[in-house]
Amino acid sequence: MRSGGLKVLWRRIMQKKKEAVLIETKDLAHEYGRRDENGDVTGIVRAIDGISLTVRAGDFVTVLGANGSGKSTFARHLNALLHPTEGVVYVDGIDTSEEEMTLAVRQTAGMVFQNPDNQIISNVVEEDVAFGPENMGVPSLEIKKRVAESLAQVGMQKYRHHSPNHLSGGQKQRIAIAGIMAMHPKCIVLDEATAMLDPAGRRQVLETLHRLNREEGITILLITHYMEEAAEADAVYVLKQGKIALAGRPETVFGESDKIKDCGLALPDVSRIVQKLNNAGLPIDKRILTPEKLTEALGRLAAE
Amino acid sequence: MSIRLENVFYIYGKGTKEETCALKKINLTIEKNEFVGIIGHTGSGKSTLLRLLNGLERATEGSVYYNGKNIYDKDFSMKTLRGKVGLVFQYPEHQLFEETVIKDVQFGPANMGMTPLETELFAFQALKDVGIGEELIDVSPFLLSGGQKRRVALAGVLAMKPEVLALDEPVAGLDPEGKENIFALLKRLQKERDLTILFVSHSMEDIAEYADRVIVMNQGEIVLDGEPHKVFRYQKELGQIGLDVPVSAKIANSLREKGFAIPGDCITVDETADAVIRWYQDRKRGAV
Ligand SMILES: Nc1ncnc2c1ncn2[C@@H]1O[C@H](COP(=O)(O)OP(=O)(O)OP(=O)(O)O)[C@@H](O)[C@H]1O
Ligand SMILES: Nc1ncnc2c1ncn2[C@@H]1O[C@H](COP(=O)(O)OP(=O)(O)OP(=O)(O)O)[C@@H](O)[C@H]1O
Ligand SMILES: [Mg+2]
Ligand SMILES: [Mg+2]
Repeated sequence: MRSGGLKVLWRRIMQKKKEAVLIETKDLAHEYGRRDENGDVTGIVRAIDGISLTVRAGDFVTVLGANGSGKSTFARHLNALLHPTEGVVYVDGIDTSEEEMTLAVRQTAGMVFQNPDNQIISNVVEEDVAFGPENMGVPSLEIKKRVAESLAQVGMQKYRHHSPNHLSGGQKQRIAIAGIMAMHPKCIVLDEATAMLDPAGRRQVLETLHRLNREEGITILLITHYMEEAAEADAVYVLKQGKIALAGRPETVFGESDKIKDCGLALPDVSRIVQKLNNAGLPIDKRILTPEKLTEALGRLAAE
Repeated sequence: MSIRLENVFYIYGKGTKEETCALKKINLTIEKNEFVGIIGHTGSGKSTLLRLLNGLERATEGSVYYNGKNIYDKDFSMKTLRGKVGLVFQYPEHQLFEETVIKDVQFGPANMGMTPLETELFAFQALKDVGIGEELIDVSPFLLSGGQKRRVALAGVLAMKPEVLALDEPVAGLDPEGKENIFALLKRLQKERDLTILFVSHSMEDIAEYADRVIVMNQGEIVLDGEPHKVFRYQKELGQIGLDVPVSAKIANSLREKGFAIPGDCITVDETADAVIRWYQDRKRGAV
């Protein structure tokens, strides 16, 4: 009875949290100067070309798009590593172009980069993970707890005294992810952070992200080339040449198979199987995106 | 051409507190023209193994033979080996170094002693093959997107026209279309130029789709080695060492457990879809 009441209350709090907008971009554009070997600008690349979107606090958002479509550039704006050429970006209400607010923006939206080497700061894994929370002035006892927790979440406790520079590619990536988790930011932006992980590691990190999202209301923005990682998101954005080409619930987005192809992407394997089954006349719901749902649907078909 | 590793051990940081035995007693033969996938959990020794193949790293113990010749013999030319075995690094940032894309891709062939004309020709061809457009050739490779960097790193090795390609996660970070194109290119090179190809991957789906043979590593050892359909029958064992089977195999396996008449060796999208369609058609026929 009592725990039921608490649950309702908890849900209400989470719902309230969810209604708040955490990220907002308005007509965002970003231009890079393309330089030759002497550093002279030879051309302009409009890497982001008018992106307006809102991410509510507590959302799990996936961003897809071909190589060079502007995903990393977009992510760097959420972390105030880049400032808009045109338009505005608000992170938790802060305009990212206000330079004195940069630190606050970075603490709100923690970012895991495409290459973990860019992120490694210290010579000892444990210190590396502690760096973020230390910088935020978290008390040292609490830091200890968070470091242990985050390392456990990525399965790297064993390596806490090692040097991050002497780890394998996937191990470094796990450390980078732990470093951001230890900051307990309101939002975590992951730029292809699961690309170098083994299947178990990828599952573990994704499960942790979904858990942080569900239980702590942490907003997640996941950039990935693994289509199936988008299947469980609240919203999917597909970028093409710096613009949003497709957006919506995963089932809706992957329902547009021609557009997906046109953006240099592919359907998740489950959808590809469903599509083949549909073409052969099997009545299977084409919105199915997970192996479990597909075997269930086939089980029902067999029972008919 | 063949590559043979005999009782190979590799130890990092010998005598330090980080001492790690990354490879333990590896015995392995790769024949000419094979297309081999390597899988294994994070830290299982895949990158270390690839780095031994072109002499970048030297085995702590044991021998590596290229065409029957021990590469650690005094009169063996490591420089020639590096031209014959093209290694693409796990992180393109570790490989790229020149000021412009085109210079970077030309470095390998020029260094191998090819003529300027060949160098230029091979570099342009390789860039075209990996899908890098002309607008990027004079740009600094460090200002490219992640996937563009990987393509350039791959082009740099292709341009050397090696006999063997040792590719460390070559399609990580490539978009699906790019990935398909690169694998199609690799398959074509294997056929047309008799290339031998080894690639590391964390995508079980890519291994099922493209590899003719898969080597499974666990904590520095080779624990399984064979044709993907055979290796992916070990779903439980693979799960225990941080790996998995392709999604298509998972679907086929759980359908079989539910009593569906579906063969036990479906590992790709086509194989699983075809098996389910056959099941459906057989059932319809039976019902009539
Ligand atoms: N620092 C830079 N200077 C100049 N051009 C850049 C710079 N960074 C990126 N670009 C260009 O901007 C475009 C978008 O790059 P971005 O890194 O955002 O792509 P992406 O979607 O993250 O791609 P990938 O999937 O390959 O990581 C690309 O054409 C790239 O070459
Ligand atoms: N420079 C180094 N110094 C000390 N230990 C190292 C070094 N490089 C790698 N190792 C260790 O050697 C082992 C094998 O590393 P390797 O890079 O070969 O793994 P991997 O299979 O390629 O992993 P990943 O999938 O994460 O890239 C790991 O346990 C790693 O921690
Ligand atoms: Mg990117
Ligand atoms: Mg590796």
